[in-house]
Amino acid sequence: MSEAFDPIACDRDEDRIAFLYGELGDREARSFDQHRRNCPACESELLDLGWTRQSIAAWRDQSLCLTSFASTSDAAVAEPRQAHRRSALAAIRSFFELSPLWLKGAAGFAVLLLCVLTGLAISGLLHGSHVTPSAVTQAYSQREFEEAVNKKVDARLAELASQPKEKSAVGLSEKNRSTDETRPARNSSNREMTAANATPKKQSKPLTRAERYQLAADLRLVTDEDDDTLQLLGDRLNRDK
Amino acid sequence: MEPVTTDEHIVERALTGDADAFGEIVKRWERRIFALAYGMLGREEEARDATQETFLAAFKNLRAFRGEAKVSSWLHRIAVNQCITRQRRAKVRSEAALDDEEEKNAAAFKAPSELLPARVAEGQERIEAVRRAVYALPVDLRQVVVMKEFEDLTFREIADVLDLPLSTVKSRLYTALKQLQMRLQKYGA
Repeated sequence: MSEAFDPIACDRDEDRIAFLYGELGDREARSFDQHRRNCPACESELLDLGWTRQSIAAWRDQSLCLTSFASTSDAAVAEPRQAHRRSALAAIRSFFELSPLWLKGAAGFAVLLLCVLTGLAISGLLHGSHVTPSAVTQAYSQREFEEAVNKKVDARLAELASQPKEKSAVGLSEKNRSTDETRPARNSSNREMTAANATPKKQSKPLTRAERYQLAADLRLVTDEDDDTLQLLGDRLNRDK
Repeated sequence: MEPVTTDEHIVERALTGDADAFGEIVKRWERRIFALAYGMLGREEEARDATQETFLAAFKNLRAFRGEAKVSSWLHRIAVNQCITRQRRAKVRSEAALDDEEEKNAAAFKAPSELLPARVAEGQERIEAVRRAVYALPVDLRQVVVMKEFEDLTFREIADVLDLPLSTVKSRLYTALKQLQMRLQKYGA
């Protein structure tokens, strides 16, 4: 006798729930499976309960995925290690990814400047290493230079020594006269002293008559009447010398 | 292949003074206990606290474990009790807030299309509806649903944890699913 469709009469609730969760024994499961094929109420209930279970499962899965408890138990220990394993290159890469444009430009400029300075320093060292042998040659040429200079100085001194005395004396008196002209305040005694000092010192040869007369005229010491005196004076000067 | 050490053996080692043995128990069961607590309480922080309290209570009462039941059942029982205690405390502290929450849930079930924003995805709406429906269940029904769906415990294990007859567990689960079905149908999910 088949059972009529009556959801209230069919009170196999526990069997439905056990069958739904697969907790019936093999024999009991086959028996209930046979029953539900002939019981629309059980069939309908099983469908509804199955749909409810799916909804609960969706909520459960989302809840457990959003919670971080599993990560703390399983991956949290690994996370610090993984973070620790991150290479410096990855950290630098992430820094540049997150940094603003101006910071990237500044960092690039700093790197470029560092490269330029490094290159200059290296080139300076290399140039310094090349300068070292030339220092030796420079020292050698410096010595030669000094020798050449000494030679030239000696030659110049010899040349000066070989020059005529009167030229140098007259030149010197003219020089003093021009100096006196520029200095009108200088007194005549200085002028006379200069001329007197210049003439005897430079003079190696006795003055001629004409020279004596000219000198006296320049000094305004004598007149025409003292020619004989001048000659005697000249002889005396030469004798004293 | 090394033989799998049973929970009972690990408890025996813990009782003999092995400091790392109980840690092994925690490592094996913390995720499932947390899932149970989360299903019962609905909040991650509270579930974490309940989980910690569960293992703390288990450690303190380790010597009281006589091996008559499985370690998993024993831990689940402790976890359920912890969750129920927390819910009672929360209910005592804020009775009005719980009533407001129930009213909100009821209102959501009555006219969900008017309350929820349009931008929420349909699947997310459904999940949210399930969450509300589950937490609208009475505690004794909710814990059976959570233990079955979150922990995948057998009826026998649930009966051991809750210290209930097997038929009572099946009956409660059936009732819980029927109520959820009715609530979700009203919600339209």
